[in-house]
Amino acid sequence: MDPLLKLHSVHKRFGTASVLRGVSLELRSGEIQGLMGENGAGKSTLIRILSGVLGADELACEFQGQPQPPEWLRSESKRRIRCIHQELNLVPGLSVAENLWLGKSVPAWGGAFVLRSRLESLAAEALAQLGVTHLNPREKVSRLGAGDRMLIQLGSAFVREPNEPEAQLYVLDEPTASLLPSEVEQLFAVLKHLKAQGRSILYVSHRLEEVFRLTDRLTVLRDGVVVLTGPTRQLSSRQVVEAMTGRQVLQQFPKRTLARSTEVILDAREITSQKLKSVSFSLCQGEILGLAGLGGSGRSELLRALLGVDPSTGTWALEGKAWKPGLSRFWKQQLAYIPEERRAQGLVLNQSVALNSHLPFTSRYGKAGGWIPRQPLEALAQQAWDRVGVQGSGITQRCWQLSGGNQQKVLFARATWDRPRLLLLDEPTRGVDVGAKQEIYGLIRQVSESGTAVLMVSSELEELIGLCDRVLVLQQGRVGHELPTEGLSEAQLLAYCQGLPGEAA
Amino acid sequence: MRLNCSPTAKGFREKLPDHTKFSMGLTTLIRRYGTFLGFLLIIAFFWSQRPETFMTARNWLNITQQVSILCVVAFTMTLVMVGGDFDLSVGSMASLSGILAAVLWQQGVELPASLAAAVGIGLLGGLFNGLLVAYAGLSAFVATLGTLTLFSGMALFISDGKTIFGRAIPAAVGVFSRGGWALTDALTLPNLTLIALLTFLVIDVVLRRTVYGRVLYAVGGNREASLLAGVPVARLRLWAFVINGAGAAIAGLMLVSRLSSANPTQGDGLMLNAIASVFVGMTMSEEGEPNLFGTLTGVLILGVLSNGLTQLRVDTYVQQILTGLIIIGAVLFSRLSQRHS
Repeated sequence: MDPLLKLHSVHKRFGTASVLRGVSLELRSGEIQGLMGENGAGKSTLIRILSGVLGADELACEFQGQPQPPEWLRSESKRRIRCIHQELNLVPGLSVAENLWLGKSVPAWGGAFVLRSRLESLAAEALAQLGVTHLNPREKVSRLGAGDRMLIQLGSAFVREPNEPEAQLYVLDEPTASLLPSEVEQLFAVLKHLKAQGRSILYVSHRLEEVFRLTDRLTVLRDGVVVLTGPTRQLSSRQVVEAMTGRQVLQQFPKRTLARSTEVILDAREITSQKLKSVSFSLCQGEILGLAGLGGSGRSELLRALLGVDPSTGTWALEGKAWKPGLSRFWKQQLAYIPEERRAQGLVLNQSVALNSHLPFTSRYGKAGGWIPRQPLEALAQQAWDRVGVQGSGITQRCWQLSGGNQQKVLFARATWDRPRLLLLDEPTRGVDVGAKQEIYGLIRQVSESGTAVLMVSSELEELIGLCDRVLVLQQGRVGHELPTEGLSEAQLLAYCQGLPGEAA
Repeated sequence: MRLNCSPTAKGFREKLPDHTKFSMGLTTLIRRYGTFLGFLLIIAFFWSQRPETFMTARNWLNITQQVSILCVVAFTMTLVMVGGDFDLSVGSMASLSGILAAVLWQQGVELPASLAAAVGIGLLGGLFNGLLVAYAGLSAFVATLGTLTLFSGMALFISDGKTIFGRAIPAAVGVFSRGGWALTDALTLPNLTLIALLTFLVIDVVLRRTVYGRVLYAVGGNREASLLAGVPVARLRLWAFVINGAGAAIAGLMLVSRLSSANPTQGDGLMLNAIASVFVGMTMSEEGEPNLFGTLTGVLILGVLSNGLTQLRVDTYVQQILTGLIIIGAVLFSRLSQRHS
């Protein structure tokens, strides 16, 4: 296989921080290469340099065997390299076809009047190339789910201007973060198809299992240096994780050390809302209950009903007493919640770690007249910071400066501020690197051992099985199964989630 | 392959830290204090042009009085903008409160009662804005654009569109703005400046020292996250509007005192200048948040420009053009320096 693009000794620094320190990367035609690394390892910087958005401080590059000047990437990559990012950059009010052609010259009569039907048939064609036939090009994107939106985002990378050469290199940055399993399959089929056509693909992902299934070669970055590179077949997942974290991973899930209590904290009977159909369950002190299910099965909606964000009917009991959800009372009743989108729903990014960790409780510490008691609050925030082990410069640091894993820890600092009776977690390790994941598992275990009941939504079956005592499998808003996790395998749980328990047996 | 030339490359890299440290320091300095430096430059310019009249205590006390009314509006507007909203209706509220007081004086209402009524209409107007924005969920733009017209119409209606002046205005009202706190035999700190100072202190304490202020910053930073953290977001936003309504009403009364007359449109210009001042002030905070010291600088930039340009006998229309360009320049400059880093 021919090397398509070779990068040598890529250096990049931001201010005083060296982000890339002599990285080399070789991308070959007809090959899928995986790129892994923890948050902050330099992956996104490398991708941004590769896509020409960012200039490197130092760089040597060769394209198809020809040495090229360092500026080559900045001028040429738009034509030859297509980057597909994890965030969706679509305009909800426009149609599928219009979104596919966003930023490109739309077929138009006289250059001004859009030829709608022509655009739509071209869009259908482009989607068909990806094997996507269920989308109507005329449909507004606002009506589609996250998975379909990702497919459109992908599709737009394959739309070409009339005189544009077909891209030779595709860079995908965490494309499966919000995809359903079936959509992931579709994406993989498309990528394999591209590979067979001799294109080169750089696949960036946190998900080991995907990388092992899909890629031919694998490169691992840590602290701006390539620490491992080689054919995927010759690597073990353990080697890769150790290369990423720089330490040996001994036991992935911290085991329960205390016996389970039978004191019921939360009891839910026949909870029904727009997305839920008479869901009943109970949760004991110190127990971790997992919520499994496919996207749209009602997992997050159950948390929203508990929070009081979505109206629901049914009866709730908290420690044996009748209880009604209500967002304004939620935190005051020693209940805690960590949302799925930590940037959009969790943190006030431009504010300090201290404010973010005491946000729900601030008014409680207000003295008469509402004065803020700065020192005691800061001391408490410092305690919370130490408790969850945030790595950063201090509690006055602004949250946007922290990595994803550390941001998540700030939310844990908030959630454990008040020794909660119940903690709701929605995808607690999404977008968090392997090392931080490990620490978060430790935190969840620690919280539960201190007596807090934990209700946890996750799409990572491994962590549901590893951490939870029981798992509720939701299917279209109903509790399909309630499973003890002991002895449960990922394949079985997946089969339950997909409603095929027969295959699991 | 450039691997051969690695020694020089390495040499270059070793030199890099010093250079980057310096340029980092400079850009940070310019970004944080660029607006303030610009302010100092403007002062230096006028000082050099009018050495005998500009940089005098008398002139500066005069400037503080000239900006005092805008100060009050801009300070309370800062509160609203910290919470992530803004209020377009402050100008017409200032007109309404002033004209309401004057109409009441015409009817023979006592001074304290009429002043209370004027501030009361400000509180009510602010409450109405807050209910529309924070509870009914209208966008701040649409809601306060509506109340801008509403308050303006009310001001014209109760005064029949006429200016009230002369004997209808109690003498004490005009005397108040001419009085002050004597610093020396020749210099007095004007009463209006004192009101602006007092407003500054109150809002500063609210923003920095109270639970309300700290949490309001969180609401402005991320409304949804604050909501999910159990913060009573709507109530906090409502209160910011109420305080801002009162601020606008007080500014309206200050304006009547200063002019010794009331006109149903005389406060209308305050809104744009107040919002502009907060925006200029936002360029002075690292996170781009509204902050009171920045707002004060913004107000003073506008005040010093107007004072200095008048001393240079620059036409008022040209003054307006220059002021607009300088506001755009300040915000643009801060954006560019942020993108650069």
